Amino acid sequence: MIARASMPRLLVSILLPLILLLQADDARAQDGTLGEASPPVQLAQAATVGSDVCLECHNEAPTNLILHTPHAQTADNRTPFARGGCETCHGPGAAHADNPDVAIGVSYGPRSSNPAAEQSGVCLGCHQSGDRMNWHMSKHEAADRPCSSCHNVHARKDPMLQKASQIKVCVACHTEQRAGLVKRSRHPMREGIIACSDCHNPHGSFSSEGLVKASVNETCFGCHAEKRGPFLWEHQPVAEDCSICHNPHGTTQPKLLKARGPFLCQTCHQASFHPSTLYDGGAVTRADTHLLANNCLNCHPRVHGSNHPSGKRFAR
Amino acid sequence: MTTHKVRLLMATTIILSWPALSAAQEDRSPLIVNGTAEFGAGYVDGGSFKFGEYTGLAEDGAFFIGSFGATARDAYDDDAAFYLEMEARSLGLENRSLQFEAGSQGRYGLGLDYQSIPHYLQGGALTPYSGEGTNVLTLPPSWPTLPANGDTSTMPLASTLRAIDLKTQRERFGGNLFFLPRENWRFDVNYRNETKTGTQTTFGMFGENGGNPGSVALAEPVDYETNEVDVIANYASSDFQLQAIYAGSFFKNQFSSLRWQNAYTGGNPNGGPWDFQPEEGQMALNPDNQAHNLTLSGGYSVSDATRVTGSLAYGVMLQNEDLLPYTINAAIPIGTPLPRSSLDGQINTLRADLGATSRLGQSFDVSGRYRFSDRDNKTPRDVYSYVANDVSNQGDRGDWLNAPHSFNQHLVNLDGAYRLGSYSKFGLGYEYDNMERTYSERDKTEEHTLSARLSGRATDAVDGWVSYSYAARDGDVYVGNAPLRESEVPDPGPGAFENNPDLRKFNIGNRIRNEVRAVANWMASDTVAVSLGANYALDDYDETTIGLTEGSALGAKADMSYSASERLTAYAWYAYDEMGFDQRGYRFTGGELPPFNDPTRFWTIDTTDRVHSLGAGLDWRNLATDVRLTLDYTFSMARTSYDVAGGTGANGSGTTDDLPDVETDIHSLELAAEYDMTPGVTFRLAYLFEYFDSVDFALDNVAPDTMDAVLWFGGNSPDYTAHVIGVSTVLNF
Repeated sequence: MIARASMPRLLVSILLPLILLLQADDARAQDGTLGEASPPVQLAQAATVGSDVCLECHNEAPTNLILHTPHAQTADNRTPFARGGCETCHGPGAAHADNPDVAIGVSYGPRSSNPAAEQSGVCLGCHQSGDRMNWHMSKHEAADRPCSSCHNVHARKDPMLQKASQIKVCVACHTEQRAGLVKRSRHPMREGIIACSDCHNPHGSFSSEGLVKASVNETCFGCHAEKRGPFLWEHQPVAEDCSICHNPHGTTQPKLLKARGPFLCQTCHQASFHPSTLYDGGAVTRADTHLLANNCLNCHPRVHGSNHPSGKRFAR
Repeated sequence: MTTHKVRLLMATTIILSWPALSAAQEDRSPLIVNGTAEFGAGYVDGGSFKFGEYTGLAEDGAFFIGSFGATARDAYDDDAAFYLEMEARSLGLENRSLQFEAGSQGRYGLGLDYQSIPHYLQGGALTPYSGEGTNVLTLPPSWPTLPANGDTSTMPLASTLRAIDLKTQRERFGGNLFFLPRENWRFDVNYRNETKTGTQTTFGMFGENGGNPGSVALAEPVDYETNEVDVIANYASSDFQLQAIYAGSFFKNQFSSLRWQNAYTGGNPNGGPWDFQPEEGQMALNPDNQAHNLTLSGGYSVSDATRVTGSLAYGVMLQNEDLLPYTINAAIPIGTPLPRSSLDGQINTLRADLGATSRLGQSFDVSGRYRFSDRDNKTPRDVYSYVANDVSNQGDRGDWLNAPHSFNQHLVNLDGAYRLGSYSKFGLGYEYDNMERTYSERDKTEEHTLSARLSGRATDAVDGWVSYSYAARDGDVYVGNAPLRESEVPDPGPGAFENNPDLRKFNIGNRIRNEVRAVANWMASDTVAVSLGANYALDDYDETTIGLTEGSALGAKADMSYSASERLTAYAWYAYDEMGFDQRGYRFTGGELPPFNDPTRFWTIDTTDRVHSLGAGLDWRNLATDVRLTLDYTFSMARTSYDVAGGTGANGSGTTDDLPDVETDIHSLELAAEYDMTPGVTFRLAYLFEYFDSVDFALDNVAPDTMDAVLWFGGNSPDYTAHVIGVSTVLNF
């Protein structure tokens, strides 16, 4: 366990040398913008060659599968192929066509030499509305994760946009959530019934953790509307934030609880008699009603709120 | 899914797809179609409710393997852009789904979808009650009047217990219509209807306090219907975006109450006096409710370097279910009549967000955000009598005001990042969180968070990041009896208390949080990538002496992937997670007064959750033999241990014994072999093995009559070894 007092000092001692090391990193100039432009890649007519030239060499899957995707539909005047074809997103290709050793203007993916903001800026030229409005304040943008980290626009079906395959994309980085998927108590994500994007907006939102709704509770009510109330007798933490007691990414305890009752309940309820009593191994031996089965809920089952006039203690 | 909804979905699909297909084919090339269809058969051996929790593969036997996916669209250079997409998954399972979308790209589209979601909740449940699925649960006519000191072991269970299913099933049917009437505009209408039916666990309790309960596990009927509609308008130009959303949600529960027969009619199983012993009890089930929300959001790119966004949302949540009587035990005199016939509950929500981000010069990124969020609970406050579980003498329990909780929050974020070259940056952040609550021990909490993050590439092959945050939360004076005094009628006075006055609830108590995270990625070669990560967080509730005193989270992970070619990829990963919760209590009984400082009464429980997770897999294809093999394996080993300590007076027995660990081991192996018989036909053989072994003191060997005063369903924690084999043919077209 790290002592609290020593933690800031430890971090400074780690961060400073790293800063110095990284200062020596590639000093390629930034363009000083947030990566926005429309069209995103400025095409000088003389430098372009057209998609047919590109496809003479890039004529194999997965590159040429772009022709079977929405981005290639020329009848839709919003698409890259309705404008400048491959070069709308990749930049003018004449120099690259003349000499394949000359890099194309904008490339995508983990081996791209283009900074993340530059890559994403191309996409944002067309995709900055609706749920992507807050991209610039998203954690993914702050972490320099470009759109191509998750999306594959050349695939017939972008895995990120399919419920069954999206989860693999997300847990490649979100490894704590990956471990949650194989825990005893979990949401039906491995079955492809729920996707990460059912609750999270990876493009950023105003809510904490980039949720699709304004708050944790509003997000949960999307599937659990029966817990919305308002109830006559509210349980304060339930009304405030479901994640006070639950971890939606999977837990070792029943019902996605962070810890089990009665211990979880006793962190907030220490009244006389049974709420303040220690339930130890002896309580297992004597089959104590406060510890076994559903513990506190054996008698207080309406813990998410009660609408019964005598439901003050969530037993009715 | 009800049959009429399936038919409606199919008919709508055909009707709507026909014009698109016809229009697409008039004077034009046919749509380019591609897709796959799979059909075959599978067999489950060793099924369990837990194995089939979300698929329905809970019983041994055969099942149909079926899926379908197809896309049809105009050629990319055609002068039209019609498209059709259809997908059907898991057709032979209870989690089957269907999706359909058709339209003219850039002009309009229509989508329909259906999803079935089973949830098997428990296996081996037994009960003497009949009537499951309804809201009246009755005991067998032969159920005796138990002796005054009777408990579950005196009940005639051997002759009356019967098995019941505890399972729910959701059926979702949705539709989406969108159109783009002119450049920059898009309108969407989304609709979703969901029914959820089945039974879930609840408990019916009689008894005037927690020391004298007489409770029974009951199958609560679930018959919900939720309708949701969203209407969305979007405007987007290169610099300015606007979005307006109306979202409505309407929840209806077929059952507003549940009545059950009292199994303890002879008296209190713990021997104490029970007044007015009832024949029946009644509880309220989740009430009908609805919510409406209107949101207006916008974004404006002031320049290439600066962007502002904002949002304003107003919502209303309503609930006005008729109130049940205080009790259905006519023998109990009621002091204060019901103040109203229905709740007239209403919560208004208001949220305002504003954010700005800017790049200053070549190297500085700055951003700021502000959120005001208000949950104003307008539900009327009234005085209610409290009839404790239909048993006690009404005069003993007093009158109480309900406490409709309201919250408001001011949240400010300021972040700055300095770029160190193209791929590296150093960022600092500050967050201020001010939250106010009504009917709470603490009216206001404030939390200040400072954070730092460094990310970058050390070389072309090595990158990573490290972050650290420090947060300190405090607030107004903590008044432990404030909720009690605001609720009990009349005010019991400043000396009254319910919880130990030293208790500090962890969501509003003082807290110091330190958190550090780090990830390093290494492209070891063109084919091998390695990633290492670690995280540690420590929550110190530094002024808490009773309650949660410390929380911690430790994690470490290692990932490796190998991509020899498109024909061979492999991966392996390992993760370790450790969560810690340290809590402290003090046992006291009625009538005792603070200070609570008898050293023999204190107790502590340090809970530690340790989880080792592992995964590995490969995907290998031999083009010469047209064979493909895939393997995915995961393993999870969880151990929850409880370090218990207490004085001789901590639990009433004089001694303290360790609690056993809670354990779960899960091995899951998926193997598949595919053989391309022809370019369009693939034969597939799949095998799934899952081993689940759990040990849980709360469930194992707890029979219906094991507990004195709770008639439980029984059923151990899940253990199973499941094998599934599937043979199918995949058509590619």
